[in-house]
Amino acid sequence: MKRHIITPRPDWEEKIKEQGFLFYKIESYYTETSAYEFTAAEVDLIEAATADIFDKCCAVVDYVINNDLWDKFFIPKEYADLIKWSWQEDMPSFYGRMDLAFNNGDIKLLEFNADTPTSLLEASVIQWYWLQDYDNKLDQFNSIHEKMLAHMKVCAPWFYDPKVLTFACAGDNLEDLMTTKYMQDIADQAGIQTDFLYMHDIGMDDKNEFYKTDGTPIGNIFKLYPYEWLFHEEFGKYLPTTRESTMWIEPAYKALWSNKMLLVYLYELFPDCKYILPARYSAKEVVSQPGRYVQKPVYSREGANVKIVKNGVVAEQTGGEYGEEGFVIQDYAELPTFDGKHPVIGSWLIGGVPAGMGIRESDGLITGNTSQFVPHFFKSI
Amino acid sequence: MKKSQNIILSAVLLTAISSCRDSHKDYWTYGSDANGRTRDTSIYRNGSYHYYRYYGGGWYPLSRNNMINMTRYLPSSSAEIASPAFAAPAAHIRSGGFGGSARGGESGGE
Repeated sequence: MKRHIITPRPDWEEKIKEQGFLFYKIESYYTETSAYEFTAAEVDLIEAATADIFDKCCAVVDYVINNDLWDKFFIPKEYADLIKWSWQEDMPSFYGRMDLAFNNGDIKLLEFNADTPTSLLEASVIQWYWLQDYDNKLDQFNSIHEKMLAHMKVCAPWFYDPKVLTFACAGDNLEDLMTTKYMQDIADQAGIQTDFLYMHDIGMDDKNEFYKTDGTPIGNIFKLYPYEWLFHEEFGKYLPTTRESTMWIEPAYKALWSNKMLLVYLYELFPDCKYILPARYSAKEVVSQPGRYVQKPVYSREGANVKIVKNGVVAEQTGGEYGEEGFVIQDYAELPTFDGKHPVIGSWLIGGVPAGMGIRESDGLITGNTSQFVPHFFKSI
Repeated sequence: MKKSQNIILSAVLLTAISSCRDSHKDYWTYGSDANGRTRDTSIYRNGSYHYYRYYGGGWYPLSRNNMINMTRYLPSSSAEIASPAFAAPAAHIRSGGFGGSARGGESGGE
């Protein structure tokens, strides 16, 4: 793995805006001034690790269901049957992104963003078009777009009637909107009839079924909106009762994988796996503990309320409002350093199959909403 | 090769990009697809015909200049334009039961 300083394309800003990357300026998220090079062997390692970790995540879901560990994951009990059903019925899932530390061939899972992963457009589209201009003979670990298109075609026959797939996200967030619209665009190309609404426009009729405000039922809905929010909002209680009439993508079992308690149970079940870091739960913040560790809230987004401790001293921490459910204490995985930057691999799965990667790098050790997206390439053998 | 053979972005995303980038402009387009074709329909409602063109995942009113305007109008579904009370939300549907956690533009992404 190497980091190269590159010259941005003269018209790069106009090009990426035409491809939907309208949020690139927020916190200088994309500047096209560097790129990472991998070897083909390194890419194979990342791909194999992603597939192996995914199998182990599946085993954790079985373990949670068989042992009724809903309390341990802070899942309200009224959603347990829905999660169990969505898993046993293998309800359609489109995607997920594992964040991996990759250091001299050593790979460690940092977390699994399985429910509402973003940075999709830039990983799938923006870096692909960049490579066409940079050197289209080079390869890239990125078949996200064509795997998503193929996978949606596979899922479509299973959709409920009416076989329209509605796409929804929170209002007033450009990144969420463009990510959701990109997903809708792929579905449209897959021959699926689609429409779009904002989460606050999802309606409920007098029989407590999900409807659009024009009076048409919602048979299938892709939501860029996390289950931990859905479960605690007014209409959440209708998710279990409408499971045969409205199909939600991602499915409800994703509430287990996007939860940091996944890391604790991965380690409990697979302590000898080379990709899994030791992790345990703590109800309260750990004030001081020897060694090097990362403290993450059970529920948190975009690197909020994360603390890194090295030898009893706080090396870095972020603010936020998460932590009510307690914390996961995970061993610290050393990130590589290139030109003072620390890259994290976002390894994408489409329909449970490794499909590509996107890299975000930071000045600090915590990857959050101020990190930068950097394209990558490798040379095929 | 581990990269996509080809990536095509189609009308749904391009329409969203246009409406986000050019929200301050009065944006007229023919709304034709990559092959130059358009998809139109007419609905008889309240004693006259109303014409619509499908583009980017929804129906837009078709103007006399044979164009549609994506900044003046929002896209509508087939059911919406067919409804006798088009543009009037169904009275027995209540909304607002989701979306509250994202107040202030917070991302639902991770």
